[in-house]
Amino acid sequence: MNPTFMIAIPLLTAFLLFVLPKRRWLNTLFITLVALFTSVYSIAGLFNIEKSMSFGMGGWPTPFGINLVVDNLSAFFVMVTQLSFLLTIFALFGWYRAERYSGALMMTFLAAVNGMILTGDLFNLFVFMEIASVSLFALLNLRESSGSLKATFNYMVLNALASSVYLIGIALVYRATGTLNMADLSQKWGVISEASATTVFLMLLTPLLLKAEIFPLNLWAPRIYGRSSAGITTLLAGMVAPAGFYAMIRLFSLLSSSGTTQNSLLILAVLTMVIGEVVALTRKSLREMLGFSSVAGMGVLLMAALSNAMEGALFHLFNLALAKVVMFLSVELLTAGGRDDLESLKGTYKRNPAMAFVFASGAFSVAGLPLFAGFRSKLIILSDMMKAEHYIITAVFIFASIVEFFYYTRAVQHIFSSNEEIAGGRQCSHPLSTLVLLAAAIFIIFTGIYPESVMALAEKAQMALTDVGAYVASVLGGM
Amino acid sequence: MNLYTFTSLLLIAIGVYGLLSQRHLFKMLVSLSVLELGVNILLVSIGYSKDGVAPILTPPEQIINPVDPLPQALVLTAIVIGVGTTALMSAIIVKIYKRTGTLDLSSNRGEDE
Amino acid sequence: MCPFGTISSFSFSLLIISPLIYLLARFDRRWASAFLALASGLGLYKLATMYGEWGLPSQSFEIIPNVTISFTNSPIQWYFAFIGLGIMLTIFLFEISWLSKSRTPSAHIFFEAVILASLPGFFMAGDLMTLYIFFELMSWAAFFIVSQASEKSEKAARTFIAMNTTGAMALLYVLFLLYTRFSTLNIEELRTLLPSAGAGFNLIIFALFVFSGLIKAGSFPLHTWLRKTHGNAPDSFSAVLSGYLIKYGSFVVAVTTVIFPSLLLFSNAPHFMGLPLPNYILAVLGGVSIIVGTLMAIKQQDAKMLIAYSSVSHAGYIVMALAMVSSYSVAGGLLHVLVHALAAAGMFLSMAAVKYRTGTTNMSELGGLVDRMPVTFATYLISIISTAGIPPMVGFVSKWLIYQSTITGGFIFLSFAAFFGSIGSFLYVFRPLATVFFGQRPKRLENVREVPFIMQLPMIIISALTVIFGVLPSIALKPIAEAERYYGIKPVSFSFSEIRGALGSWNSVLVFFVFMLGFIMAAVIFYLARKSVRVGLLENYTAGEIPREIINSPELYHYAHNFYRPVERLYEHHPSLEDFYETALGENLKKFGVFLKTLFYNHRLDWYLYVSILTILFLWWLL
Repeated sequence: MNPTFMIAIPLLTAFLLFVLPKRRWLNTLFITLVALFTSVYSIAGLFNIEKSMSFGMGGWPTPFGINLVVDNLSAFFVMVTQLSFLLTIFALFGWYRAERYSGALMMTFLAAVNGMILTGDLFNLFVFMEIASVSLFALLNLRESSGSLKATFNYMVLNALASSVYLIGIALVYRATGTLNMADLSQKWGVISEASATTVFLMLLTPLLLKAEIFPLNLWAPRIYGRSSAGITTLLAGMVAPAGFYAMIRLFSLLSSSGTTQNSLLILAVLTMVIGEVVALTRKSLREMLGFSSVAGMGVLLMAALSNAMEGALFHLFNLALAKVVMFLSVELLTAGGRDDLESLKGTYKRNPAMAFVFASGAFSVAGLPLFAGFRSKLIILSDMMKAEHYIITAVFIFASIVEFFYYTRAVQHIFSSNEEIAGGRQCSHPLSTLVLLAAAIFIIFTGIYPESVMALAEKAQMALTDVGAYVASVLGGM
Repeated sequence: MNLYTFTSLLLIAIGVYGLLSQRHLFKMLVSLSVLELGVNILLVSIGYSKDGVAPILTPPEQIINPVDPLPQALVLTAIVIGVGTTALMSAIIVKIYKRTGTLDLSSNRGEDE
Repeated sequence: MCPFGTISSFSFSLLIISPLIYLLARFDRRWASAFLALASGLGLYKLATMYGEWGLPSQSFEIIPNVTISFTNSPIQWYFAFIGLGIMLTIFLFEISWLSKSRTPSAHIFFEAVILASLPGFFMAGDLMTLYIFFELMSWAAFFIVSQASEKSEKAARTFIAMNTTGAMALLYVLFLLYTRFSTLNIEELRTLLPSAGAGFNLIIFALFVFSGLIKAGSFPLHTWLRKTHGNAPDSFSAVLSGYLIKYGSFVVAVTTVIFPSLLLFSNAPHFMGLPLPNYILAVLGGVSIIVGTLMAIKQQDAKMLIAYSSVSHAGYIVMALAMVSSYSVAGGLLHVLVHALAAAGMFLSMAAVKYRTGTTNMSELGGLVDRMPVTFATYLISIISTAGIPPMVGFVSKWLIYQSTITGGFIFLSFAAFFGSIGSFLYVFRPLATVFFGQRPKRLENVREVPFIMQLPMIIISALTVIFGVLPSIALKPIAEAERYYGIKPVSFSFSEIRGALGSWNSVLVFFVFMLGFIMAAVIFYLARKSVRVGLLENYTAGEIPREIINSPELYHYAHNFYRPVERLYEHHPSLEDFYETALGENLKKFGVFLKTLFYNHRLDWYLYVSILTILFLWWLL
């Protein structure tokens, strides 16, 4: 797969939308087709990646110019984000008609997220991160009714601060090593003294922690989740957070960090998880509950990644992203844009049984019930963490799982409550969204029973992550 | 520490202080811009060398003391991105003002709890 | 051979076709229920053919490296699974007719199909992972069945799932501890490997297993979910819950103490009265459970909640007996599993039948149903005789075996608890009998009829089995002795009609005939004597006067109201564990969550900045 297309085509589409005639259905069709193309292209590419491949941009030799890297890891993440995007587009198809602004913003967002994952250059990463957040938050506030303006403002300020920290980090890295290419930097990382290496490393990590919603940089997140319409929240939970997580683990594998750094991040990850789950337990609004739960999920991923359970973490990431996207969308369709507190959701399965089923399968997957995908990945994480003798953290994880299991079953119980008469008959969603979401739900159950195919991808991704030599060779060797 | 680094750190400090002390949305935005300016100066100062020449259109053999061009390219990009962010934030602030009628951050008007 | 093939394919094929069963139930609920009854019958048949073929492992797919879903057949597992399927069979027969009272019959039958599928999977599990998976499936399905009954039962179901998930997660943790240590989860292999591990490690394993087992068994101090869940579950499902699902916990305890050789594992631990301390503590917890269950059952106003507490007390007997791991105690404990399964199913089914006709189980609203519902009455009577451990029924035999071991071991407290539970159960089981079936019949119950035959049938089967096992306990003792032999415990010695104990022997057939003789004599006297004079219930109380309250709320003057008030007064101000868990754990966790929310996620930008800076400083100080 040529990564240039993954970025260039959506970007081109974004500009083309302003040239095309002003027809909403045409815009929608156009962005759907582009999303479909990039998804199919990336997934088809995923299955024939032999080794790490680097593509220099603009005719510059690699360590000097910007390069894009495709290996099993980045392709895996591109697949996850593409799937989330595709599901969102299809599920919203029924009631969402893209005007050209939102269509263009969606396309720039897609290009930026793909760029965040595929890039091999630190500064380029910064650029794509900024484009992704600017386009996402413009999208969030495009429609007057949606979103919380103040939450967006808070996010923008935090984001600008974190980016500044990142830029300072870049300045320091460049002063010390003279390169910003990730592969090149991993070779020259040793010239920085250990104390300043830790500082610089943490500076580089700051905006990634913000994107990946790790405590204390996730304080903005639940508000956005609780107040936004499903399209935005799925893009956040299914694309931005995984992309941030990707950049983080990539930096972890390329740049050696001290045990202290790893431990402090591990503590942050565990805090993220526990605080997220316990607060989610108290939330009455379903979207807000899902928001805190997504935050906690990112904590679980980072915790697993830092305690020798990387393969499980990658598999879990796939399951989490899929389940979260499916749940946010089904809540949107279930409530029909109305109130989403637990009491008013009682018995809504009578109104829209398909969406209730979809929500339940997503919820059970995240909660880790046997037969659903999330159970398998949680088992792998638990098993690997135990093997690495992280007994206490595992116990904390188990505690968080109990809390999580409880509030998800509670939500499902409310939706499927037979003790409430519901007003108004059936209101089925658009057949296309129903079909796509049902397919995703069935895929969740299928993965729970036969996880081999996804697990194989996760395993290959994990091998690509640990094989730093191949990564560096593909970038620098092919000069 | 040369003058440029010092200036940039001073600007960053001013920006952070402004963010923490101000409640007016536009003042916070200005603090943020000051902070970004500081960061940009820091970036440029890396490539700076005294009496250096920018290696543009100068034949290579005449360059004795070149300025590193890369940080400058980076800063250009960073400035552009900063402009984009600032524009979006101003738009959001205007929207906040329209909805709540205030520019005070600590006011909770218009926010349903 | 059975069309289901092996027992594992029984589980899996049921799971796979459960959506079809849902559709079938949408079409006609009676057929779905009958189909499941047939399926459990087939499962029973298959199990019967498997008797004696111990230790045949069957594997299916891999879950994590080296861990597959696997099944095996050992006497204890066979015994538990057989009883379970038997109880499920009677329940499904009962539900063919009962389901018309359910508001969501299709969902009910769908989740019961999942439970039926999980049952042999759980009990025949060859490794702990299989055990865990099927347990989770069971609690998930039970959760939804319980939620369906009423508004109140939704909260009860949440209590149920919270505690059971905690138990299951404890099991998951210990499972991975074992897996990391031995890289196998196979129960048979662990049995041989465990003695090589240190006593400290084994103690952790034991404690976590017991924690999870006590939750599931509904035994003190983790019994608090039982009252609400059993009291508020759909009526026929209470019978499954109490009759069978809490035996999942007894099974986990059996795995901990009997299948894993706990006496050997703790042979170096301090001993108390000849028992290793961990086992002794577990037995004492069982004893406390008997006493607490009995005392609380005496207090209950609702018949179903009363029976729920009686389940706590019986779970205590089983835990206590299994913890002592002696020849008599294990036999008694395992036999008690059968006793309580039959008795609880009998009691709950008869209460379900009463509710089917009258719409309530509140004892002060009922009365005088004996000549209206004779079969229901007989079932209840036989079940409570067995529960109270009165001779001709099987309940006596298991208690007799348990007494043998507590007395010969010299455990004063345990013997006291066992006797206390027996005598206490006379008090509480008599109360529904006296108030639901005897006494004056309220006006509105005049037209109550007996339930349809298809609902009587399972009750008749259960009563018949209770009597048959009581007369010939040797039938049930055969697999139990086999189990004891299999796990290296001296088997109890018995013949066709006689059990030989340490303190004498028990000839059940002889006793049965003596009792029958007495019964016949009493009946002759009853019929020859003069008829009794019927007196109105309320006249007894008010001595002819009619106070105003009696018109407004006559149930206050029903003699079921505050039936055992003098006894209850003795422990009126007892501390409540139920409240403790709910407020101390549940509510405080929520309060903590709200605190965290206001502390961190309070939507204030400056606060966000300070929190970030403070966290960094904290980490800096920490590392």
